[in-house]
Amino acid sequence: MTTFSTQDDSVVVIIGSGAGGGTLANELCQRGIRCVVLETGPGYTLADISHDAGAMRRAYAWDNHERDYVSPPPDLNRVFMGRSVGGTTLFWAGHAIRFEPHEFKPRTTYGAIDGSNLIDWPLDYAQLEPWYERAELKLGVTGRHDMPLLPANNNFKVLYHGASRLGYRRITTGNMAINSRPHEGRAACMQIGFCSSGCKIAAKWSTNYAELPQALATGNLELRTLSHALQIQHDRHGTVTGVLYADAQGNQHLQKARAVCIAGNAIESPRLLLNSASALFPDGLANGSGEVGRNYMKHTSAGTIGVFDKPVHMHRGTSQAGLLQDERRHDPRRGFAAGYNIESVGSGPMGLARNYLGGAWGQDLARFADDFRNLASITMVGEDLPMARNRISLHPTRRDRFGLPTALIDNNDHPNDGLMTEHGRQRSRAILEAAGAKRVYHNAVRGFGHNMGTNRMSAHPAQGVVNTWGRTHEVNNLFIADGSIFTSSASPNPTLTIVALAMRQADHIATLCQRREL
Amino acid sequence: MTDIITLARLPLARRTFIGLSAAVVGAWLLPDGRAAQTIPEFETLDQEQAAALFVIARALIPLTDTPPRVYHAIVAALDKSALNDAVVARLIEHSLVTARSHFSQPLSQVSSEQLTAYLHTIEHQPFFQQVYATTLAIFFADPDVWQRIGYEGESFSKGGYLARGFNDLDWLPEPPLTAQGTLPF
Repeated sequence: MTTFSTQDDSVVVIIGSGAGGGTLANELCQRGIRCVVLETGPGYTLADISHDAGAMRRAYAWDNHERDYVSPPPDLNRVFMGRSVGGTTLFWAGHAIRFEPHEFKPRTTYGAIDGSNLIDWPLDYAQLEPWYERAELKLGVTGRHDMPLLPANNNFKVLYHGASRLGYRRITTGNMAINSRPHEGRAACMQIGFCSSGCKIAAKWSTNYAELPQALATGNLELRTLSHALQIQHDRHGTVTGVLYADAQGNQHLQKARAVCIAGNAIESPRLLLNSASALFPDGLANGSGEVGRNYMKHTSAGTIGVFDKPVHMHRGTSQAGLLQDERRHDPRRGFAAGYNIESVGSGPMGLARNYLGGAWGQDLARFADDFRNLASITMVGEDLPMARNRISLHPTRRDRFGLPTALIDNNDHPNDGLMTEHGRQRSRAILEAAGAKRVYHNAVRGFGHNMGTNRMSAHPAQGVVNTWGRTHEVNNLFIADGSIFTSSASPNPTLTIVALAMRQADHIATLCQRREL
Repeated sequence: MTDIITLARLPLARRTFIGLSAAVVGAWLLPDGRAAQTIPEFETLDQEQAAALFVIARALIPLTDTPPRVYHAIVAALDKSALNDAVVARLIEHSLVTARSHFSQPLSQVSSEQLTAYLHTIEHQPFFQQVYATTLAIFFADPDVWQRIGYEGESFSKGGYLARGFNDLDWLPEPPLTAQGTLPF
């Protein structure tokens, strides 16, 4: 691997190696721009992946006990974030769904909504569409271009049949970044399951084995693992000069940089900006608007399990290959703004028992276990609204192992979120019952790994943190490339849009470098 | 499955955990019905405490045809937690003292109806949550439980579920090729 001196200020430093950071690194390296990626976690290989879901989560996810909540959620597992080479792309489910045009214009489409500071994205679908195309080709998204849809597994058959009976039409095995045919040297899906523990045959796209090896092969990338960014430093003009980070031994280094890009997920990215406050930026770097950390969004969600008379074996095969999109439209007649998708979710019994039974025990738990082979499971995933009070801030007293304030999370539902969730719950029940379910369970806890909005993109500097390119309004050589830059959450799982925005940002950075503006 | 509560009520098994041990490790039961000397030892739990946790774990998930070994493994996991965490050890000890004084007899001698009614009164307490979380974690990770409930676990070592039933559901019509793709070979 190429190495760069910490004094080399010609490199772009990228913090994080997931969907945003890993993609950006490869795209920049392919354009001849030298990069140093700082990844706080270790680097795992396919051989390290086991299908012990709990062990894998402990190995490569952030520990939820490293964060605190203003109002403790019912389940501390609600923030899922990767911490190893590949970030959350090692254990994402693989949904790679585009936004629809109206989802870039939520304020215009939905109108003013009390209690939400919703704004439109400063870019529209037409601007991002070519990058969606390229992102889909890169990821090998099923149902797009030449990549066929995945075959239907048992769990999807239940969703398809129930939803069809209710008159739904937009139902497929989904746009998944999981190869249905070999792609870019990676294998086709063998229906192994355990997608969220990591794909041992690399059929699912991850920056770990798809982007970063390509970037390393250019000779333009140095990937530093176990390297935790502590602070972004700047000169007296407010131009970023480098990143202070700690290595595996806790020794601190200052890596100089021509530009810095943060891609540490929507919890850690704002924390890093807030922890980089200085005399010039007293409220946090690039936080003159006060929007850093605010507008935290996670998607609405509600899971439903149907109990059938006959076997389903929902754990067999690709965990989430099933997508119903009819409800993602904006239709005020339903009583709420925005929309949602419904997705298949296969799972083993442990996760279901933890997530769906709400602490039930005794005969209820025994009956659930007895029914396991006859269960099918779906979840709704919908657009939640930004609220200024939903935010990541610095904990007043708690410090991490480097002595820096930890993240304090405040996350509350907007009334619209609750109305949408209830609608999704009722439709999910109806779908499963239409397929023959004799009984349903609804899940008691919420949350995906969809963390968005805490450094949002805005046309006006007063309303957000970054511009249409993911460049901070206040600092010319500081960029952000993760879900924190989402202006709104829209209904799709966020990864494809993170990748498309990162590819677009890389192209922009390369242009700026060519023009010697960076 | 041997009913350990019945066993525990036998006159010779007033020392309740001997009866329990007999059920858990039947092979070690001597001909006269008493347990051999080699009953499983715990690091922090005495026999009555272990017997109490056993019946609580079983009350939490009384799935028929579950090998008693599974519930015993839950007790062992709680013992390990107590060994590693003095707070947990005190929590278990105090909670079991409270439960015993509630019934004025060892929990293993209480009827399952009475035990369940009592557990409902404490289900929001930290002790219950500790036992519940441990019960889920051990129970649903056990291969014998998996076989019992029809879960097949990891599939990578067997080539995935592609040729092992991922799409074998035949009691609903097959979705059309506009909704799904074909097999990769």
